[in-house]
Amino acid sequence: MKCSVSPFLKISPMKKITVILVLLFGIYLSGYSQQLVDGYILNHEDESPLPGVTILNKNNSEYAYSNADGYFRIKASKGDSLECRYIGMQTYAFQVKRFTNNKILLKASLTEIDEVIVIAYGKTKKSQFTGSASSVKKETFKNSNYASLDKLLQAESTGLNAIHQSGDPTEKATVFIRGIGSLSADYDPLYILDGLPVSSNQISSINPRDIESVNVLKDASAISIYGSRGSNGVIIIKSKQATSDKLQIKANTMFSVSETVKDKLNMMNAEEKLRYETQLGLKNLKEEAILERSKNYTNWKDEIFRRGVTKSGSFEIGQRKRNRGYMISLSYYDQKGTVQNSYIKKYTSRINLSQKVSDRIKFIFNTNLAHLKSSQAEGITSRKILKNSPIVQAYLNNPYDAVKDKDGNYLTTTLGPNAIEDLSLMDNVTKQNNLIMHLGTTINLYKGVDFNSKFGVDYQQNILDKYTHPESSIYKGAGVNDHKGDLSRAYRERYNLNQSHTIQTLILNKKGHHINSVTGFESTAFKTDDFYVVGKGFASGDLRTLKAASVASSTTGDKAKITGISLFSRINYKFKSNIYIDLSLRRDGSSVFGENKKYANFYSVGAAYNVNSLLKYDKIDYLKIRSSIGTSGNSNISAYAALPIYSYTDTYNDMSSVSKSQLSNSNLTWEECLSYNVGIDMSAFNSQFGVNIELYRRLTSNLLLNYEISRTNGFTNILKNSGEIRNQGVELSLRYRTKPESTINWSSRFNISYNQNEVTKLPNGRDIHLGFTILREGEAVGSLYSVEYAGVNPANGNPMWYNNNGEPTEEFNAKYSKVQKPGIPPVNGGLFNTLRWKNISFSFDIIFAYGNEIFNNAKYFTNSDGEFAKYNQNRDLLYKQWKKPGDITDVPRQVVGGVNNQFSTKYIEDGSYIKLKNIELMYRLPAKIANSFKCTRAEIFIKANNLLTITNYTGFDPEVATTVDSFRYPSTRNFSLGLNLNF
Amino acid sequence: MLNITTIYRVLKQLVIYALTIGVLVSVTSCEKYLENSPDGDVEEDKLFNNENSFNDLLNGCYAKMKNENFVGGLTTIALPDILSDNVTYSTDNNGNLIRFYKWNYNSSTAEVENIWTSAYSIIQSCNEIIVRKDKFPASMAEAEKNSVLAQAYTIRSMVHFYLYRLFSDTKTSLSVPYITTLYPGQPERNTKSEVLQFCKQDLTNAADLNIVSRDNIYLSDASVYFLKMQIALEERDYPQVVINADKVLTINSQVSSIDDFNNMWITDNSPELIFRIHFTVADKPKNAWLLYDTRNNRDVWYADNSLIKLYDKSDIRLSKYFKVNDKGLYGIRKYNGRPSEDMPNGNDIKLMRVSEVYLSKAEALAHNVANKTEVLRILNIIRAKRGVGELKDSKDIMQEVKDERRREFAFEGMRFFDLKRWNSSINRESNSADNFLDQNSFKWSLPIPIGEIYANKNIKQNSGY
Repeated sequence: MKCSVSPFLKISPMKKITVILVLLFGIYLSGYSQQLVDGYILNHEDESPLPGVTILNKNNSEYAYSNADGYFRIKASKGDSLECRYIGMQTYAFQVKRFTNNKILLKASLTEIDEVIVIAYGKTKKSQFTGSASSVKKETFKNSNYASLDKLLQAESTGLNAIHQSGDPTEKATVFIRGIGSLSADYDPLYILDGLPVSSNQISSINPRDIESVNVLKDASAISIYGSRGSNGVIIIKSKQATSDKLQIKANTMFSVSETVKDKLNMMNAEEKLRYETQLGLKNLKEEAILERSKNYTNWKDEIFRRGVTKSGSFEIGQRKRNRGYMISLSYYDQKGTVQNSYIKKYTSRINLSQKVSDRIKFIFNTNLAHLKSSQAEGITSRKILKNSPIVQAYLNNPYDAVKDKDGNYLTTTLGPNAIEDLSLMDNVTKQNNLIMHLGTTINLYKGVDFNSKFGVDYQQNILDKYTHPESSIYKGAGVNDHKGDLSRAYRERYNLNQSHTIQTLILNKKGHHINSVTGFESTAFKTDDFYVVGKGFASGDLRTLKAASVASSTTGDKAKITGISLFSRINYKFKSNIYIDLSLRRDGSSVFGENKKYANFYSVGAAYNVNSLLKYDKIDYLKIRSSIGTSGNSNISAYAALPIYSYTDTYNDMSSVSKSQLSNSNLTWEECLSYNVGIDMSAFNSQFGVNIELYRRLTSNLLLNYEISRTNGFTNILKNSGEIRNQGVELSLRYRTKPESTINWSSRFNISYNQNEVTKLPNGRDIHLGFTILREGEAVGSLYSVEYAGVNPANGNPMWYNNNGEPTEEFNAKYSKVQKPGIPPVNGGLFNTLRWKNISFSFDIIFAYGNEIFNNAKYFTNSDGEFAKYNQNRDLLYKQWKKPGDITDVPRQVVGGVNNQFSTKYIEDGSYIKLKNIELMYRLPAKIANSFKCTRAEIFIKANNLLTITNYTGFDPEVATTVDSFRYPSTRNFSLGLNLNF
Repeated sequence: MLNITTIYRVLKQLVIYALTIGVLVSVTSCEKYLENSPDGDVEEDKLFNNENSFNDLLNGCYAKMKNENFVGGLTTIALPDILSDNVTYSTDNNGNLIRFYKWNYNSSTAEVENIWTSAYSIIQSCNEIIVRKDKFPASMAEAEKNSVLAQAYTIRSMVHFYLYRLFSDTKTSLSVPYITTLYPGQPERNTKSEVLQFCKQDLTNAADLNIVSRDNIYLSDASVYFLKMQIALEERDYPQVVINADKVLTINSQVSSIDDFNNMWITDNSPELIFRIHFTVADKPKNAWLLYDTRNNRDVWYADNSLIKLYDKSDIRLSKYFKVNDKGLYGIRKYNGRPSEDMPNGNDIKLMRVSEVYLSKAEALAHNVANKTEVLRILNIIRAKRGVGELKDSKDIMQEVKDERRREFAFEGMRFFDLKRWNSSINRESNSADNFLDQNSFKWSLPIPIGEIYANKNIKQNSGY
C-alpha cells in the first residue's frame, strides 16, 4: 500500500498560513459574534413598550422574549438575521448592526393588504380569491355587551342583514344575506364553525370573545361547494387557537345598565280614559266621579318594565409550544331584561387543543360547552294579541284599574288575568345545555397531499318549564274539585352529527402555474327527540315537581331524523399572481325530499385577474377584477314533508282516531339558486385606502311554497316547488385609515348595500296572500298589501278608503287592496369609525336602512276608534275625534263595536331610520399602573348602544325583521362599563 | 425515462383515484341511509294494511266534528242566535262576534274561513273511507263494513247540508261544491237542487247499508232519517217531513221528562238524544265561552227580551237556560260545562233530539188547516214535559209552532235558519238600522271565504259580496 500524503501538506506554505489566519480570524469572528445583542422593542404608534415579543435569531435558532419594559437580550453575531414577532404586529426582520441600544419599532399588522380569508375547506388570501367574501374583525366582538354573535353583525359586511329587533335577552337576531331568497324554507345562512356546520341555534352558545374571525361568503364561487345548504350565504366562524409561545392570560369584566327605548304611543291617563268611556256610553260617570276615581291610578308601564342590569366576565388562558397548543376560556353572562322577570344567564367554557404527533400528523380537538338559563316575557310578533302578555298589558290596561285590591290580592284587568300577577306567580324557565365538539386530524400523506378528517357533534338539550301557581287568579271561581296549579315540562333534544373527509393535493407547480385541488365526502345526520308532560293540581306553590301533581293532564312526544350525504371537489388554478380560476362541483342527497328527486348537483366557476400587474402604479397595492357564476341550494324543511302521512293525534271519546295530516309530494326537491357576481377589489397607499364594489344577481327557483289550494281538498295548502325569486343588487364598501405613524389614527369603514328583491314567478301567476303581505309577480317578497285609507269624511266622521276607481268610499272591502312597499328595507348599511390617540381609542357605529314600510299593528289596538274602547287607547282618540259635521280631523267618529276600525294604510308607516348603534371610549392604562396589577396590559372602557334613532316611525323601533310590528319586547338602550386585563 | 419522480407522481395519482372511487362506491350504497320513516305517524301504504284503520278513520271524522269553529261550537251554539233576534250584546263583550250581530261580515272575516275549511276537512275524511269502499280488509265483518260506510255517507251528507244552509247564494241558484273525490282540484259550485239531491242520495245509501246501533255519541239509523227530515223541511216537501219524522219516532219517541231535561244540560245525556258530538275531559272544550265566560263569570251575550217574553213563568226552560242578573238582564246559562267531571268550559253538542222531530213534524202538518188537532196534540206533548200548561186552541197555530220551536231550541243552532226558511225579516227590539235585516238581504248567506276565491278560479262569490 502506498502511503499517501495528506493533501494539506502538499499545499505551499504561503497558502497554509493564509488558510490558518483565515480560520483563526473566522474563529475570532464567531467568538466575537457570540455576544449578547440587546435592545428595546416598542410600539411604533406611541413608543410604548411591547412585552412578550418573540425575537428569533435565524442563524443560530436561539430565541428570546421582551420583558415588561420591552427589553430583550439574545445571543447573536453581527450580521445575523433577527426577526421580531408579535401578534397583531407586522413581523420585523433586521440584521444585527450593533449589540446594544437597539431600538425596534413594531408597526401594526397591515391586515388589509392580504388578509387570510377562511373559505370552504381551506384558506386563501384576499388577493387571490375569486369569490365575494367579507371578514368581520374580531375587535367587533371584543367588548361585546351582547351575549351572542348574531346581535353584533348588522351592516358589518355589505350584503349582510342581521336585524336585532327586540330587547328580549333570549331572542336571536334575524340574519340573511343578499335579500330573502326563500319563502317556506328558512332563510338563515349556513353557519360553519371550525370547518363543520353548526345549527343557527348554537350561535348563542359561543362566547363572542372566543372568536378569531368571522367570514361572510356571498357569491357562487364562495358558496357553491356547500351545495344544498349554501344558497342563503355562508358565515364561517373560526375559534381562537393559541398562537403565542408565551403563556397568555386574559380576563375581562363588564357591567351594563339598560332601559327600554322611549316609545311614542301616547296613551291616555286615568282621567282621560274615564272621560272617553263616558263619552262612548261604556260608563255612566259624572265629572266629579271621574276626577275622584282618577286619583288612584296605576302606571302600568312602570309596574311592568324595570331597569335592566347585565353582568359579565370572561377568562382565557393559552399557550403554544412546539407540538402542542391549548386555549381554554370560561365566561359568564347574566342579563336581567327590562321586562320584569325576563333574564338570561349563560355560562360557557371552551377548550381548544392542538397536538402535533409527528411531522406529518396533527390533531385538533375543540369543545364548547354552554349552559343557559332564561325566562322569557311574551312579546308578540303576530297579528293576534296575546291578552296576558305583559307588554300588551303595559299599554292596554286601563290606568284607573288597580294592580291589587285593599287586601293585597291581585285584581283582574280588562284584558283578563293580571300580567303582573302572572309574572310573579307564573314561572317560565328554559334551561339549555349545549355542546359542540370537533375532532379533526390532518395527515400529510406525502409531499403536496394532505388528508383531512373531521368529526363533529352539535348537541342541544332544551327543557322548558312553565309553572302556574295554585293561587293565581286564573283559578278564581274554580270549584273545590278543580285542579289548581299547573306544571308543564317540555324536553327537547337535537343532535347534529357530521363527518367530513377531504384530500387536498397539489397537482402542479411549475413555471408559475399552480394547481391544487380539494376532494371530499361528507355525511350528516340530524335527529330530534322531544316530549311534553303536564301535571295539574298542586296543593301549594312550594310544590314544583310532577310527582306532587294530582293529575297528569297531557303527554305527547315525537322523534324525527334527517340524513344527508355529499361528494364534492374543487380545483384552484393560479398563474403567477395574476390570474386565478376556481371550479367546484358538488353532489348532495337528502332524506327529506321526494322519491323522485333525492339527489342534486351544484357547480361554480370563478375567475379573478390582478390588474395592478399591468398598471405598475406603485401607489396601488392591488387591483383585482373578479367574476363568478354558480348554483347552490336550500333544503331547510321538516323531516317527512314529502310523504303521504296520516296522524293519530286526535281522539273521539278518548278512542284513537286517524286522519290525513298532509298532502304528499313525491317531487319535492331543493330550491336552487343560480348566482352571478362581478366584483372589484382595490387597496391603495399601503392599505390606507380600500374599495370594494360588487354587482350581483341571484335567482332562486323551485321555491318551496305552501301553495294555497281549494279548501275542498281538505287542506288549505300543499308544499310544492314552484315559483322564483330574484335578488339583485349593488354593494359598496369603502375603507380609509390614516398612516400608522400619525399621532391621531383614524380608521373608517362605510358599507352600503342595495338589494332589489322581486318575485319573478308564481305558480299559475296567482297571488299568494299571507296575512298583511302578498306574494305577487313583479313585487318584492313581503310587500304589504292593504286597502288605502282616504281619511275621515268631514260630513259624518266616517272613515273612508279608496275603492278600485280611486274614489273615497265609506264601504270597506278587501278587494280594494293594493300593493304597498316591501317590509324589508332594500337599502341598508353602516358607518364604522375608530379614532386612536396615544392611549385612548374612541369608536362609534352608525347603521341605517331605507325604503321599507312597516305595519304598525300595535296602533290597530291603541287607535281602534271604538273597537277596543274597553282597553286603554291613544290620547288622540279623545282629543282629536270627529265630533260634528264640518270637523276636519284624521280621527274618525268613535263607535263602540268597531265598525270603523279596519286594516288599511292608516297603520302602515315608513320604516327608514338612522341609528347610532354603538359608541365606545376605551383607555389603556399606563404601563406602570398595569404592572402594579401584575398585568402586561390593562384597558378600561365605557360603551353605549342604541343611543339615538332618527326615524318617522311611531311604533317601538323601526329596526324590525317582520313586516308586522306588534307589541314586541321593546328594544333597549344600554350603558356599559368594562375592564380588560392581559397577564 | 422511468425515474423516481415520475413513479412518485403516478403512484400519487393512483392513490387519489383509488380513494375517490372508494368514496363514490360507498356513497352510492348509501341509498338506505337516505330513507327515513316517521316514528309518530303512519305512511299511507302502511295504514291501509291494518284492519283497524277504517274504524280509526271513521273516528277521525267524528273527531273533526269537535272543531269549535264549526259544528263543535260556533255554528251550533252561537252564530245562528247571534245573527238573529235571540240576543243582545253585553258591555263585557270584547268584540267577540259583534261583527256577526251587526251583519258586518265580509269574505275576509276569519270565522267564515274557519267554518268553510273545517267543513271540507270533515268531508274529505269521509271520502277517505268512501273512496276505498272496495278495499276494506277481508277480515272485517260485512255488517261492520256497512256500518262504517253508512256513517261516512251520513256525515258527508250532513256537513254538506250545513254548508248549504250557510253559504247558498241568496239570489242565484248556486250552492256549495259537493265533493266526493279525494283530489277535486278547483271544483265549481253545484246548484242548490244538486246539493240537496246528492245529500239525499248519500242518506239513502246510508239507510240501505244500515248503521249498527251504538251509544248516541255515534250516528244511528235514526240519525239518517232525522237528516232526511231536515232536508225535506228545507225543501218544503211536507209529506216527506212527516214520513221521515215518523221513521225516527218509531225508533225513539221519548221526549225528556222534566228531570231528564234538567239533567241533559248537566250531564250532556238524555234518552231523547239521537246524536250528540261528544267531548271528554281530555278534549278540554271551551264552547261554553261563546255565550258566557264560565271562568270569570261574565256574560258575553244576553238573551233578547223578545225571546224571554215568550216563556211562561213556570217554564222549566226559563230557569234552565237563563239567569237573570240584578239589572234585569238574562244571561245565558244553557252551557255550563260538566263541572262534576272537571270539564267546566264546554259541553257536548246535542245535534239531534226527539223534540225537534216532533216540532218539525208539527210545522209540516201546520201548513194544512185540517191537521190542527194533531199539531195541538204534538205541541202539548212538548209543553207537558216543560212545565207549561196545556194549549187548548189557538188562532194562529203556525205561530204557536214557531214560538215553541224558538223557546225549545234557543242557542241550539236553529233560529237564523228557521227565520230564513220562513222568509222572515229580523226585527230586534230597538228599531235602529242596526237591528233590522230585510228578508231579501244578501246577508242571509255568508260570503265564500276569500282564501277559497283566491285559490279556486272556478268558484264564484255570493251575490252582494
